[in-house]
This record gives sequence, structure tokens and C-alpha cells, in this order.
Amino acid sequence: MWEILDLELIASGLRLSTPLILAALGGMFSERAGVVNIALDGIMIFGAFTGAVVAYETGNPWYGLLAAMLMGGLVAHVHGIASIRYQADQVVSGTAINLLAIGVPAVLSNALYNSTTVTPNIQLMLPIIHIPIISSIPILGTLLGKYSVLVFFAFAMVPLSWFVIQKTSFGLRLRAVGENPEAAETAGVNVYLMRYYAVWISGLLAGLGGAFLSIAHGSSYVNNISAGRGFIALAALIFGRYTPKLTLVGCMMFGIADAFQIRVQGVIPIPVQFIQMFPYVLTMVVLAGLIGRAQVPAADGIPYAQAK
Amino acid sequence: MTTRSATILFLVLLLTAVIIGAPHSNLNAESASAPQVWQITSNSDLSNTNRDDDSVEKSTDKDSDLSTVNWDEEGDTEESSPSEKEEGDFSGESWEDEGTDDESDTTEGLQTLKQSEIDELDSQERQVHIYGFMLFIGYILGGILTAFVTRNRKIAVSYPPELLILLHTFWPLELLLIPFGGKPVR
Repeated sequence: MWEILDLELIASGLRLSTPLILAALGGMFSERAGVVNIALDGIMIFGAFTGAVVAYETGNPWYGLLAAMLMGGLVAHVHGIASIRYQADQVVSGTAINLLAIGVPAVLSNALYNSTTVTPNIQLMLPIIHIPIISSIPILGTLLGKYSVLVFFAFAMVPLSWFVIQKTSFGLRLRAVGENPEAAETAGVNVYLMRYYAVWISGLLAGLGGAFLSIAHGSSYVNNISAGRGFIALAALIFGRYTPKLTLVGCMMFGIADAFQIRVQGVIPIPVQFIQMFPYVLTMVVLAGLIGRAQVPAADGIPYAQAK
Repeated sequence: MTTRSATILFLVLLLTAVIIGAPHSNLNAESASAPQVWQITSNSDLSNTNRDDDSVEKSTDKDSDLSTVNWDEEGDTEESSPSEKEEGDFSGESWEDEGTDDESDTTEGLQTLKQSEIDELDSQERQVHIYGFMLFIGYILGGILTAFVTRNRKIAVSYPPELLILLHTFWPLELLLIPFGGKPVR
């Protein structure tokens, strides 16, 4: 039992938290600008499918990564048009995209490869980065030595996102639009454009999270590849009070819990279905305890109508 | 906590609970070889691994009742099997006679050839990664730079935000439009 509680557990947890971090950071940009993006899971699925198809067809995973990002942005754009331009209910719009993500990839996969459940395996996955010196150090080497390039990118995005949101004029406008769009517009900020930018960044990052599943961690797209990780990312974002650092903690908590449940299967005499529930139950328990303290942006989820 | 936040949280939890019952993604492939996690990234068919696991579980359930098996007889049968003995009995073999110099030369040659092929494949793979990475970074930076360059130009105020974002995304097209809408307006 105790042998599974080793450094590999943490390393595996870091890997599994990568798509969550990317999606949650994307959600943070969107929510801080006042647009609820419940479509993260659907965007991840679209990104994963597009990434796998393009990587397979071109033989280059980087093209798949780029295509997954662009597809994530385009799907988020649909959400943006519905919720920003036409001022639709943002939760309903996001749910519609999630429902589309259940069916559209299956239909396209069937049309392309005569299979509704899985795409062909890609020939080449995204590279694994070996940090030269660190990978030879015993403990650090196990923890930080070799990961997919997207793992490093995701963790690098955390301080970068903090910097963009807290220290740049773009971030200031973004927060202003999410807190008080009328005041922001009075100050000369284009509220619509800022919200579109935020939703687009959200889509790009969630698309990357999906691409991680299909071309970095796995080698093909399978149905429901995200397995609800977009929603978990949203939960981690709420847990993290819409800040990058705490969101990272939430994502890593779920990632390590996920790694734990995978490793503990077969080790302790509990039905595997109950073990698989563990990270989800843990997330719910933590959220139930901490949700009251979340500081939601004041204009989050409220459509903005420009004054005539 | 506002009603809106409570609604969102409820939806998140509800969908999460539904998804627990759904088939799991290929992330669970880590369970196949947890101590050697680094090998996962080079596994070419994680989804199949997952399904194999499922099938193993099912077959285990069906065949788990082994109480009627006479294990002593099973063991005796294996031990008295003449074919097993013949296959495993190499006591009469002269190992020194095995393999001549010619064969070893050929083997070394094959190994060298394979190694060179592997090196070539590695080199090609590296080139694919470098080329793809350059294009990926170039496209992303191109989009950001184009958005920066056109922020004060007519093109940025002529089009509605949703179209402008699309233009930034497909920025080579936006660059083509600069001669028509590239005049600074502010």
C-alpha cells in the first residue's frame, strides 16, 4: 500500500493536472472579464479532436497543437457571439457547446475514419523535455526531470497569467470590464472587444488542454476524452478564487488525487468504481467547504448592453 | 454566495457526477504501468490499453470461481508433460559451437545498420519537431504582433470586435487588408 506513495505519484499528479491548469487559466481570463465560460469541457473536447486529426494527417504534432488552439478559439468565439453580442444566458450558451461536443466529434470521426469512438494513432507525439542537470539529480530528477513540453508550458503560464492580469494595462482593462463594465466604457475601454479577447484566450488555452490529452499524454482522440476535466477546472477556478496561484493549487490537488486513485486500484480491496470517485468526491468536499469565500467578479455572467 | 454562483456550482457538480459514470478517458492508462510512468508518453495506443483493462476485469469476474479446479492434478499434468521436458532440456547442447565468426560479423553489421537507421529516424523526428515548433511559435507571435500593429489603425475600428478577433486569428489575411484599412485613426 505505502509503496504507491512515492515521488512518481507526485510526478504523475503534475502530468494529470496539466490539462486542468490550462483550462482553468483559460476560464480565469474569461470570468475575470465577466463572461462565464462553462463550455471549457466542450472546448477541450473540440481541441483534443482537432489536434489528433491534424497531427495524424500532417504527421506533425505541432500543427495539431496549433490547430487545437485555433479550434478552441473558434468554439469560444461562438460562445462569445452568443453571450456578448446577442447577450444570451452565458450558462445556457456554454451548455449548448458542451452538448455539441458530445456529438460533433463523433460524427466527424465517423466521416473521416469510419469510427465514432476513436481516431487513428498519431505517428509522432509532442516531445518530452529532459532538463539536463536536474534529470540526473535523484529526487528532483524524478519530480521535474522529464515531462511533455506542454507540462512545462502549463506551469509557466501560471506566473505569466498572473503578470498579464495584475501588472499590464491589458489585465487592468480586463478586470475593469469584469467588475464594472459601465465605468470601463466611460474610461474609453471597448468592453465588447475586451470580452472577446478574454473569451478567445480562454478558448486557446482550453484547446491546448484538450490537445494535451490527445497528442501529448495520449496518442489519439477517444470519445469523452476530457472525462469532465473542463468542469473540474472550473471548480478549481472557483476554489482558487479566480487567481492563478490558488487555481494552480486546486488543479494540482485534483491531479494528484487522480494519480492516487489510478495507482491505488487493485492495491486496496475496494471496488474500482468507488476508487475512481475519489478525486471527484474530494473536489466536491473541498469546494463545499471553501466556496463561500470565493470572490466572484462583480459583473461575471451579466451580459453588457452598450449605452446608445 | 450569490444565486448565480450557486447555480454554476450546482451545474458543475451535477455534470461531474454524471461524468463519473461515463467511460473513462485514456488518462487511466497510467494505471497499466504506474511505476514506469515515463513510458506512457511513448505508448502508441493508450485507449486500447484501457479497453484491455476493462476486458480483463470482465473476464476475471466470469472466471473468478476456481473452487472446482483440482490444482494437484493440474500441477502433475504439467510436470509429466514430455514436450515441456524436451523443450526445456538443453543439457546436451554445445553452446560453444553455436555461432561462428561469420554470424557474429553479420549480427554486428545488422546492429550497426539498425543503429544508423535509428539515428536517421531520430534526426528526422527532431527536424519535424523543430520545424513544427518554429511554425507554431511564429504563428502565435504573428497574431499578437499583427493585433499590436493594427490597434490604432482604421481596420481596428472599421470592423466589429467579433470580426476583428477572427482577423487577428487569421492574421495573414489581416496583413493583406492593411493597405485598405491600415491608416492610423488615433
